[in-house]
Amino acid sequence: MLHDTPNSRHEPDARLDLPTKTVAPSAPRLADDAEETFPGTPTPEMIHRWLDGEAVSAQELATPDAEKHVTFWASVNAETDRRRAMKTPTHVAAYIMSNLSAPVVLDD
Amino acid sequence: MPTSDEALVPDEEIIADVLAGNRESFRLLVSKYSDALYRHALGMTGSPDVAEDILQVSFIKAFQHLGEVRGRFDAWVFRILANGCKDWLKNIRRTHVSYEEDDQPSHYATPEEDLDRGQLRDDLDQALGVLPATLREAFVMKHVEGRSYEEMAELLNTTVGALKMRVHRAREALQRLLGDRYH
Repeated sequence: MLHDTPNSRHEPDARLDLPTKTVAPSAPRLADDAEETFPGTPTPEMIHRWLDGEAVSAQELATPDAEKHVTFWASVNAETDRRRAMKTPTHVAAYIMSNLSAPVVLDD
Repeated sequence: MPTSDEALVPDEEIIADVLAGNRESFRLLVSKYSDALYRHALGMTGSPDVAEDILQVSFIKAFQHLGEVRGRFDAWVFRILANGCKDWLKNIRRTHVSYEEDDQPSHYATPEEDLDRGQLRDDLDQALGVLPATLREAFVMKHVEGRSYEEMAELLNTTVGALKMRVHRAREALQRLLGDRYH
């Protein structure tokens, strides 16, 4: 149960003063519009259900059209599974701990 | 990584200990949550260096404002980091701001090339870099971090339905960007 909201008075200003390293994507960026639709063949609904962990019969996934989607997403999932196992580089915790300044304690 | 005993210490106790002057206890919070936060930052920025920077600054900021935590620490620090990622994405230079079918880089349009895991890694990073921040965030939380829609809704303060829509749109876009190459 959350008691804070992203804009609650308890959350510090999240503007982070970061160095301006860039890894600007070489590909064009999609407009920042969640309502935008994308051209091309839509992913079948049952593939979304399968990817969301819902029950989908083996029969549904075995159709020729479904198989190419399954193959594609199995490859992507193998890569995302690998990323899920990634750990923070060991020096990061030491850097954080050596750069702490005094916490701000609010009076209630 | 915290030991199994340390992992059982409630965050509230750790925070109280830190605020009482035991700064070293903050290391437990860093150990408990840094991996999940690092993966989020890495997924959002695509850069290990930038992800490290955002993670470090987020924890330092969290430490400075630790007395302001009222709810779950992990959700609170997640929002600091997530906002940092979105700010960074807003600030990087963009040469294009809209998507046109013809704008797709030829890099994605080489169906003859073999499926290669290293290549997929690079291509996925590039494709994620094209997505709007909200879609990228939803995809990374669902597919990379392995979170449930309910957990995502709690962290992002939105609805399960809205997040399913974002994840579905992200999949559609990624399949469009990568599908020719990997089908």
